[in-house]
Order: sequence, then structure tokens, then C-alpha cells
Amino acid sequence: VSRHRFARSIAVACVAAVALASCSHSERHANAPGSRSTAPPGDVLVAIGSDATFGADLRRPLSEAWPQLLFHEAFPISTVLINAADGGVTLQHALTVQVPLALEVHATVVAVWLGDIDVEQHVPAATFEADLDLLVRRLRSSGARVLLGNLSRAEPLAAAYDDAIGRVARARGATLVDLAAALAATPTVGPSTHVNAATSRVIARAFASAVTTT
Amino acid sequence: VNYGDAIAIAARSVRRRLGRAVLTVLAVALAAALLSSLLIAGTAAKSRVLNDVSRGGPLTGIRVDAAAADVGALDSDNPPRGAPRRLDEKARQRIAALPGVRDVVAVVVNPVTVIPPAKMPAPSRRSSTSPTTASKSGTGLVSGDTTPFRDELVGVDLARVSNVPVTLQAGRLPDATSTTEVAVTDGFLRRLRLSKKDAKRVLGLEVEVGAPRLFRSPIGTVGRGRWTRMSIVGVVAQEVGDGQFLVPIASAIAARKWGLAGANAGATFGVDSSPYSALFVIASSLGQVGPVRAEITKVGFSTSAPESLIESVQRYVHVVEIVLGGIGLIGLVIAALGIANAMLAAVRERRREIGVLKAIGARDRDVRRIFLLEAATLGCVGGAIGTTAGWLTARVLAGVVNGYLQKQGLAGVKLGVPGAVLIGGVVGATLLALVAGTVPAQRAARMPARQAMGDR
Repeated sequence: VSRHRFARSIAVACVAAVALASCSHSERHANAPGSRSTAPPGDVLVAIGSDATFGADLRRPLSEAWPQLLFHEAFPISTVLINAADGGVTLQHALTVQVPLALEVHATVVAVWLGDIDVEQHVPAATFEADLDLLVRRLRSSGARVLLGNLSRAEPLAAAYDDAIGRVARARGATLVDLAAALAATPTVGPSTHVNAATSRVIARAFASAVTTT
Repeated sequence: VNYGDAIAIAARSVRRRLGRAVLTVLAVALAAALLSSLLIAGTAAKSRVLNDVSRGGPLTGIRVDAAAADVGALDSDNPPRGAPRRLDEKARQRIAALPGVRDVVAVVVNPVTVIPPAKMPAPSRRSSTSPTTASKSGTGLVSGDTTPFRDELVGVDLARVSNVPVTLQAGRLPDATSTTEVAVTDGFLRRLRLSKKDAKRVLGLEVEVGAPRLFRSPIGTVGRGRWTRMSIVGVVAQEVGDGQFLVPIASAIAARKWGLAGANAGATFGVDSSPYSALFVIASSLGQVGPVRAEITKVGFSTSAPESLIESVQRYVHVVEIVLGGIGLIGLVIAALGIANAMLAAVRERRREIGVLKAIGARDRDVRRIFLLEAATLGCVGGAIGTTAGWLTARVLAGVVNGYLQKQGLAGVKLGVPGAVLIGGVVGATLLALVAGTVPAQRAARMPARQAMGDR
């Protein structure tokens, strides 16, 4: 195909030359006037999480997952996004697999939403808090800004997790993103454990609001 | 009879037989217009295509792939590639140092996943196959199909883009240092169900581009993307790579670096492990393409070049020149016959006048001068009108051809003022008229006065 197009280009050029009067110069390669937006190196946004962050329940996870929406709505065009989330993983997994990736790419902003799988696996709240504290500490020590989303579940363990998330955020200088309140304020989107496209948008907006207002 | 008298007599003769003079001038003008058009076309064909090629440029480009050479395939424009071979900066410099090489431009191609813009222009023509699904907005944009698709980033050193086969169709090329600008090809427009006419409408839209990387983790092997957003600043036709997204080479290198750092060194996604996917080598002239290819083959890399194609084009252009020359010759003969015919008729009608002139002392050469001046006047006026008409015709043709070129995805050409052709056309038509008028003028000059006076 490439060669045919090349042949066609040459043939068309010859036909043009034969048909035309002498031509002073070609406009090939000329850049049209227009503003050039050479953006400076921007943020490296890394999303850490599990099913909901990965977009496991979404029809088009690549374009509908909340990190992708957040990336598009709240960050300048020069930003790089890496969604490090994996489906069905706990905070412990994120600590061992996802955090090193965030450190490798020198993340400047890390959005974290973890806990659903830990709740389902009945990980004690104290363990969860200790692991979360370690996770945030590692990320903060690299200079990254950390956004921590809380849960939106009715179980008592989830409430304990939310308390832990709040404490870690305060202690480590992370930004708490109140997803529970955001999802509760939008009842049509359904429970947070089963993220759909609408839920994804609400979560992305909540994170975006935290990015732009803090 | 001096020159002033001769001119006055010739002018009076033209005024007396204005209809015939006009027809004769028109015949000369038509021939001159045809001739000037052909001359202009021939000049353009030779100087704008073949001379450009012979000086070197994208058409003398040799593509060097990151693959081993097949010595036996040098006779082919596009031979099959050998086994993969690392093409790095050292190899680039070695090739750049070969005799006959004018420039070497590196190319990095990397597989990516692309998310089209969420809002895109509505197709200019209504189509039932349009992917657009949602309501129109006031900006002329509609909700588009954001289904991701696989494609390739084609990274080129855009500071030297004039040496690679990239043609701008709309907008501009990405800034050579930008990481957020991209130029797309017609293929991307077609994917959006848009035509080339819509090229300007995609400018400013954003695409999300994800470079893939494979990770091994306790839960298995997963793929992750390094996502960047890019603003579409131009639409191009390019022969550098198969991808639909032309970016500065740094963007493609960053994408490839990400993929290579993953498990399986990017092989799962087809990430090329060679530092450069290809080189675009520009030979200093068309004649150097073959020798340079042979030298690169000795270095050990697979090459391809359209040299056979260009030689074929040269032959075709030469044939076209011969045909055009033949048509021009026919035009010349017709014009000459027209002038000769008009002058012979004038001699016949003006025998009495010739007789009077001779009776009052005009010599043969005076009579010859009068008729030659008349012929030259007709030729000069016809030539001026004809060459001007030919140039104007060429301008109209330029508009038509430029429209066609734009439809074909090629940039148009500007029409200059061909001074040599305009002057040459007038002078040539005058000389032609003099030649054609020689026989009638000679016949008039040799006509005896008595015969001229007595024969009505």
C-alpha cells in the first residue's frame, strides 16, 4: 500500500508538472502559521487500586475507568497517566507491585483507591491501616502528591477502613477524597463495589475536585 | 521607400483588410498559445520533477530497515527484509559517512493503543454508516465512538522533515520538541468516517495514546499503558511508516522505552528492540541511489528505494516531452500555413498597389520589406496575444490541478511568471511569420510593374 501511494504521489507530481506552467516553489513541508503549544514536562499521574480503578466491570475500561477520566478532566495535556491498578487485588498487593511502579516512573501525583477487596477478604482494619500508612509514606517520600479515596460500603469493617484512611491522610499529608459522600450524593449511580460508567464519572469528578481545590 | 514608409504602408494595408488580419492574428495566437503552454509544461516537467529528483530529496530516499541485508535483492525496489538487526546511532553515523549520502533521518515506530476524541466533527456528508451516536452540539461536534484501537506512532526528527516523504495537507507539523502534538494521516480521518475535505476540522482535537508494557505480577501477566494526550495540529500524507500518527521522535522513543522495560522486552506487543526502527537515507542525486544502496548492503542492512519507479517516470516524462513537441510542431506548421496563405492572398489582392509602387520607383527590396513588415506585425501581435492567453490558460489550469492535488493529499504548486517563455513566444511567432511571409513577399517583389498594373 505504501509503495502504491508513493507511486501515485510521483505520478501525480509529474502530471501536475506537465499540466502546470512553471512553478516558483513547492509548498511541501511548509508549516502553516499557528500557535505552537510546546507544553513543559508535566505531571506523571499514577492510579493505584483494584477492580474499580482497573475498570474491571466497565464495557470500555481503557476509556471509561475513572483514572482515565481524571487524567482527561483535571490535568494539563502534558500529563502522563499510568494506571497501575490490577483487578481483584488487596492493599498488600498494591504495596508490593503497584507502588514500585509509581516510584519507577517518578510519579508526581498518585491517586489511591483501595480497600474493597480487603473488606471482602476480612483483612483486619489495623493491618489495613499499617499497610496503607506504609504505602502513603513511600509515595510521599518520593515527593509525590497522594490522593486517598475512602470507601462507600455499609459494612462495619468498611467504616473502620474509612477511619483508617482519614487518619493516614492526616498523618502523612495526603489529600482525602470523600468518595463515600460523592457517591451518596449521586444515588442513581449504584453501589461503589460495582462500578459502571456513571459511577466512574462521579469518582473521577471527586478526585478532580480534590486536585483542583487543594 | 524607407522603413517608416514601409511600416505606414503595411499598417494601412492591415487596416484596410482588418477581418483577414484579425483571422491571421488569431491563427498565430492560437499556435502561440499552444506552443507557450507546451513549452511551460515541458519546462515544468523537467525542472520541477526530474531536476528536483536529481538534486536529491525525498524521492531519492532509501529506506534502511532494522533487518539484515539480502545482497541478491538489490535489483528490487522493495526486497523482502532479512532477519532483525539492531539499527543504532553507531550504524546511523556509519551510513551517514558513506559516499553519496546527503542526509540520514532516523525513524522510530512504536505500537500504541489510541482512544479517539470523545467529541469529533460530524461528517460533511450525511452517511448512514456514521459512528456518531449522540446529539449535536452548538460547536458542530458530535459524540464519537471512543472505542480504542491499535495503531503505531511514527516518530521522526521533525527538524529535518524536509528530507523525508511527509506532505502536509492541513494545519502544520508538530513542533520538533513537543510531546503533546501529533499529525494524523488520512487513515485516521477515514476511521472517524471523515473525508479529506474535513482535514481542517480535526485540528485541535485530542487523542489519548497509550504505549503498552507487559508486567508479570503475583496475579499473572498484565498489560499497562503509558498514556499521553496529544493535540492534533496537522493532517499529513507520509510514507515513513505505516502508522497513522506522526510525532516528534522523542515521543516515539519515550513510548518505546516504556514498552522495552516490561516483561518479554516488549515483544508481546511488537515493540521493536532496535533503537531505530528505520533510517531514511537521502542520496545526493538519483544516480547515487544505486551505489548508496549497494554500500548500505555491504554494511549489512536491508534497503528499499523507488529507483526503478523513478527511472520509469523519467522515461514517461521523456515520452510526454516528445509527444508535446510533436503537437507543438503541428501547431507551428498550421500557424505558418495560415500566415503564408494570408500573405499570398494579400499579394494577389494588392497587385495594383504593387504596380503603383513600382511605377513610382519602388525597388523589389522595398516591396519585399513592406510585405515582410506586414507579416512580422501579424506574427508579433498574434504572438503577444497567444503567449498571454497561454499563460492565462496555465493559471486556470493551475487552479484545477491544485484542486486535484489537494484531493490527492498533495500540496499545490505556485505559478510564476515565465518571462523567457513570454518573450520567446512573441519573438518566435514574429520569426515564424517572417519565414512564412518570405515566399509571398518574394513573389510580390519580383512581380513586374506592367503585369501588376494590367492584371486586375
